[in-house]
Amino acid sequence: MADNTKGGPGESGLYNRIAVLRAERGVSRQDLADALGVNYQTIGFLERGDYSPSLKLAFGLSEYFGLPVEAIFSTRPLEPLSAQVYGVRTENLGGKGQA
Amino acid sequence: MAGPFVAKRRNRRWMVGIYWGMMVPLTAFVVGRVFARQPSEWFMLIAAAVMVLNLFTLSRLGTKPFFPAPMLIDREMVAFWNGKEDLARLDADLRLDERETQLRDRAHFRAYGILVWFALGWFGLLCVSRMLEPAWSAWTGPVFLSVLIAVLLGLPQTLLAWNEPDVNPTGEEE
Repeated sequence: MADNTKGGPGESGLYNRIAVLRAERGVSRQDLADALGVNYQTIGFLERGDYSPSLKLAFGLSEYFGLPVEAIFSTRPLEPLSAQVYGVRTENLGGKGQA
Repeated sequence: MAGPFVAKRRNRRWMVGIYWGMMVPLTAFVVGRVFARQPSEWFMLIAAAVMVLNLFTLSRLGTKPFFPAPMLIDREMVAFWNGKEDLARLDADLRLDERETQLRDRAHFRAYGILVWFALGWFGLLCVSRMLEPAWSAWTGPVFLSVLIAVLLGLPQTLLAWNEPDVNPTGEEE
């Protein structure tokens, strides 16, 4: 799966969680593209971090996923969502289960 | 619009080669006719031929026409050629999103940069030809326009088709 939450941020210099969010919700690239009014290839470029979206498209993604923009895009590497949600519990368990 | 064949950059590069393989002899032929002092109808012929080739060859490369869909001369013809019966779907396919618009503008920018050097080279040749043989200056205008049209209408699409990476036409994971 194309996901630039790990590794480099691609040509855009932005990290994002689009692929993870899309997979989590079972949405295809075509569905997402249709909802946002862009070509499905643009979704692939966004996911790989090879394209920096306009503010309009970024807010469109934010509205579509019901998340703030900063939860989707970041200039720094994004933590896995599971670590963000369950990080405190994992710390309380002494770091068990952490990779 | 990009079918499985044109999704591969290697295939697109082959088609770019075929396109220019047709365009270069055609332009050379027209230039030859200009030398034979029969420029007017041949000049119109190359303009028409370039437009037809551009529409039916390069638009099949997975690069979209640079005209907005309503400005296309004959959408039904394009729909027939692309196997699209649903014109609304065709219009949606032809519409450029923000990334594609950016790519198109960048391709035009690069193509026009190349054309500036072409024009400067031609101007130099014109100056030299005027000094060496003043009679040559009679054909420089039509020849210049013939080559300019051939390059202007094909170069931006060529750059896009040549440089765009492989795409997965299904829209699913690569």
